Amino acid sequence: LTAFEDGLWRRLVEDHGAERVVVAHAAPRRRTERPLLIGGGVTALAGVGAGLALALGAFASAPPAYALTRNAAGSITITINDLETAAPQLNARFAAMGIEETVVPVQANCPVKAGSPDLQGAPLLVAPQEQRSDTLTFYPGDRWLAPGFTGIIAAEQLPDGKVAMAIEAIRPPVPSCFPATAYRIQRAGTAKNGIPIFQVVRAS
Amino acid sequence: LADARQIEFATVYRQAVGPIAAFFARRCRDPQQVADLTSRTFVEAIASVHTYEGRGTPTAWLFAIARRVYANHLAERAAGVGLIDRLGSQPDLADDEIEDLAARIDAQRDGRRLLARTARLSGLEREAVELVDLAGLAPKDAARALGVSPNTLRVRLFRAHNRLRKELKP
Repeated sequence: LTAFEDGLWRRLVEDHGAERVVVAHAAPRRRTERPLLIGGGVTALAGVGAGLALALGAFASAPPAYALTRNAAGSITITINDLETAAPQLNARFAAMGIEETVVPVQANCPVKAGSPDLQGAPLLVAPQEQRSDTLTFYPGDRWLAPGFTGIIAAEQLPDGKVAMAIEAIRPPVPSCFPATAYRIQRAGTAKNGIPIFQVVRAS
Repeated sequence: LADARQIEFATVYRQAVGPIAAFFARRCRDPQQVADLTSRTFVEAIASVHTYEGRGTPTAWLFAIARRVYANHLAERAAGVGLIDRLGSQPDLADDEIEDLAARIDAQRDGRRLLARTARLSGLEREAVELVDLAGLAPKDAARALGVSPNTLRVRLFRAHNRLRKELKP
């Protein structure tokens, strides 16, 4: 492998667990199979024995709940496949890394009332829509946040399995969820690299 | 025990990373952009590995993803207005990686010339020529990557070769 190929493989291994991924020639997988938890579960289990490793191998082609990459220039790239599993793990990891961002799930049954916090008019920077999993790259830190604000990543597991993510800054406290029915999102423009910008509008 | 029908992603990566990077090096002159698009292809492959059904080679599957990644990239570029610095999307590269990619871009000079000659062909014919004649895919794998039947691919490739031969005649 060349320098670039080596470097890319190293990043794929470190950030996406590529060394554990298996490309299967098998028939479509059963729906009962659980996704591989790359964030906490599997990391904690690494090295506990060949038997378990082989057992995990059967599941290795399932997508991870999330992936996080720390890029050299300080930006962070996250991909979420399973929001329910990923949100607490990502938030714990953000805290451990000193990153002032919180993943906040957008849920239909969220008990937080609309307007608390009031997102009316807030711009949301939505990750480019890829085929299945959505990836968001952002620069963490105070430099990008106005005084008194903290960063949030609103994420919603869509009915088709995709996870839509949007990044914003709000005044604390950070709610545990956002109510999906309280707001609607409308396209407001396009950001760097063609990333669409959406705006939050209170649902009528 | 390892399933005979399974291949480690590392093996797939070793086989495909060169041709996939070359695919983007024929389209982009910026090493950072080639790196970004190549990386996005493999990240997308990992995230959607369960969708690989074993029809066609993994390399053909990766080329299908690479085409999609490039189409998304063009759409993003076409829509690009304004700057919001909190967002970014490119991996950071070491100097030797940039040198490596610059050399790859340079090495694709002939490939870019051939692609320029195919400008009058249909999109499918152009891509068939590229995947078979430049990327070295078997016609059936190129058909899989392009989402057409092997027969369609063969017919289009035959036509494309004929037209290119005629154009090259003095």
